[in-house]
Amino acid sequence: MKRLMLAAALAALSISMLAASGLSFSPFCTDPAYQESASDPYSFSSKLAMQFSIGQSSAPMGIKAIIKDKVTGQSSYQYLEYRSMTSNALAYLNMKGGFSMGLARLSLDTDTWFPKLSLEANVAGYLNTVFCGFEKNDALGYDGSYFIGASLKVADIVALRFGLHHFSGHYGDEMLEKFYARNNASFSSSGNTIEYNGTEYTLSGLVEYVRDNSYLLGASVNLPFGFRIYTEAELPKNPSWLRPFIHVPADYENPVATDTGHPTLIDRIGGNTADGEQVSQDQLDAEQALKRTSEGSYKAWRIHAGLEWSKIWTKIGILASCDVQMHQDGQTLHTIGGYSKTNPWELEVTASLSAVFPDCIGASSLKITAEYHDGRFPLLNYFYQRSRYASIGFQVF
Amino acid sequence: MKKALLILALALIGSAPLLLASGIGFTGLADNPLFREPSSDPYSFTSQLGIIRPADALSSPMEIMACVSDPETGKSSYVSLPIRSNAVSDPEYLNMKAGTSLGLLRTDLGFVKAELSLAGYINTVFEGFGGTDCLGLDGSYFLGFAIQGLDCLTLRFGLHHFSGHYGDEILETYYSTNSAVFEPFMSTIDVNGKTMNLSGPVQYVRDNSYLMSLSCDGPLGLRAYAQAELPRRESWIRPFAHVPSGYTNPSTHTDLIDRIGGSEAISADQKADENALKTGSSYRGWRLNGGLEWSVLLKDMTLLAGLDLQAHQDGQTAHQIGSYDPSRQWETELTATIAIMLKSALGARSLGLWASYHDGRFPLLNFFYQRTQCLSIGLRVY
Repeated sequence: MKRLMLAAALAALSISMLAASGLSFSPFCTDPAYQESASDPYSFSSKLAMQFSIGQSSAPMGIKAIIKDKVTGQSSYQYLEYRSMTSNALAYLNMKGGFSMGLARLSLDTDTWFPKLSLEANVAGYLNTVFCGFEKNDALGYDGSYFIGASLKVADIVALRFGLHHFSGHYGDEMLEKFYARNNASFSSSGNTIEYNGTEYTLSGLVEYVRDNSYLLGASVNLPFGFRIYTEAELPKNPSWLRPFIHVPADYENPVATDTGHPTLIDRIGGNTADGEQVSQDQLDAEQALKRTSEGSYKAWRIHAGLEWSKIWTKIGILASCDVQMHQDGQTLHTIGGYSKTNPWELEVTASLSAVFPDCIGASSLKITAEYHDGRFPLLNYFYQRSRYASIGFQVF
Repeated sequence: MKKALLILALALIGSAPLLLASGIGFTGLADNPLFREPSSDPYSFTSQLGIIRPADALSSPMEIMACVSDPETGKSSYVSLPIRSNAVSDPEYLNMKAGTSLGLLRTDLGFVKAELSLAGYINTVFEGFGGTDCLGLDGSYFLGFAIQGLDCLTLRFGLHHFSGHYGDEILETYYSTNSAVFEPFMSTIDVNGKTMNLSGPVQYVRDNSYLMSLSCDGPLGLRAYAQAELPRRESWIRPFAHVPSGYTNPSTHTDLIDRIGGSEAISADQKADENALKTGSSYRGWRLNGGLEWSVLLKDMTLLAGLDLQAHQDGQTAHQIGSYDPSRQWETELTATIAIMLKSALGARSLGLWASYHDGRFPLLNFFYQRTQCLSIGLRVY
């Protein structure tokens, strides 16, 4: 007890000394220590933008379904249309409601040679949706993402963040109805079917994108003359939930410890549980063997980096930025049995130019942004849809 | 809509030099809008993260209403079909809403302030059991203006949009449970062992309505507010059963009952019956709400208590084809909230820990037919 009291007294003394030397505490900060990036498609920001696909191949006209051949029992991911291409089907409306904030911040500012330090607990999240900008404005889908972690800022120059990151993609209901009708889908409690190239297949489900959860580590450095560079790396936890099954690394554990029939995550996500992709065991074993050829290097990493330049006057500013994303799951070609260590990582490039109105929404800025994107369509479940587009709209972060 | 926006843009551009020359001050963007979002209004433009705990089994959305027609009689009806075959005990739900309300180009003349209003939200509810499936997603926005006099009386008017969507995982389970068969021109679904033609799940849309709001700040931290929402005469309204007579659709400018009924594959005689039932009535698909709030400042925090009452005229349809009855009561919703808020924790916004009791519709637009009594707790940004 005495020891405890002594420790408490010492702690109190240290805190008061630190307080005297410039330690401060702030709850709820809307200017998080780690800044979101203007061109990062997965940033925790709010957005309302019109998006114009460049070329018909950039517009999503279908979705990938997991189908099984009734004769061979072999599964595959097939792209089935939900609508026909028309020349006006190139415009989309992207709405994203998101935020990033510090829950609590400890700052040390001594006014000496010792650099200013800020340690922060962070929470961030967004809901993202894309509507067709034509016909009945069907919703193509929506995404949810969140981050829980901590960040450290040193000398207002270097910022680091680390935590858990969640991604979950969903398809839109109106689009799904059209998709099912166009492809003669039939549902029953004993099994679902769908037509592909005139043949009836078992429909195991739709290809979905989930990362629940991954480690996310980010670093950002403010450079002279208004430049900033940043980089982030995302690594799915082991065990965790990860979809589709072809993106799952070898020998990741099944998060459900009691499900002993599916010892690995490949078995669980690809297998025959209610939430599985109903892929045959020989294909699952083949996928496991294929991923093992990576000798542990395939982990479904996502790495991105970018460069920003900004010039802010009192009430207005300008921001130019470029972001490059690299997805290791691109090595799978998003196809069962498609993984090869020699396949390239999938790349996304986004460049944007913004007029900035600083500090007009709390500590957040309003931006009018024009953007060019060459990468994945901006909905998680459409990760297999390459898209080049130009967009214009508002951003808040 | 396009014309209205064009006129608004031209008026702004045209009047800007005159206003600037007059010396009147402007705030380009204000995140403390003149009309404050009510704390207990389920449809407010706020952000929140909450856990919903239904009071009983009947309060949980375990069914989805589908629009089906009998292949023998050709008659359509809305039937509630189970999402899943197995029962779920003590379900909980996770509600996530990302929303905001902003004031643009605020003018302050001292005794009166005016601004353009822009607000919106995306709202979603996940099941807190099984595979944490998503039940659905709503989108809503508001475009208009607000005027405040004497710092206490605020009026807001503009166009309001509501659009409900079902979740993909829920739909897949639902179709499997009810043996839905899809074909390009007519899909089917099993209803109590009988194969019925399926037009699709019943959806809720208001695209767009007029919304008028009035708020009055009284003494002792009291505030009263009221809002009225009226679907425009030329707009999109779903489901068919909620459409008033004499309305037209914005696309072909033809009768809205006919147009929405057509998209739900309702027979010509049922459309005519629905029209006849509503013609000459006062039915317009109104939504009215009003409420009271009381707040008190406690050091750096504010204690807030709010009570909101909603009245939906579409409740007079009993949410069924051919069931409109002017003598039927409007459907009501009651929400009571208590919150502890950290004032100005997020810029001009307050972050609140809140708890509420709700007796009304399940908080997803497409589940408007699902009555629920529930307790919720969570974080909210006002």
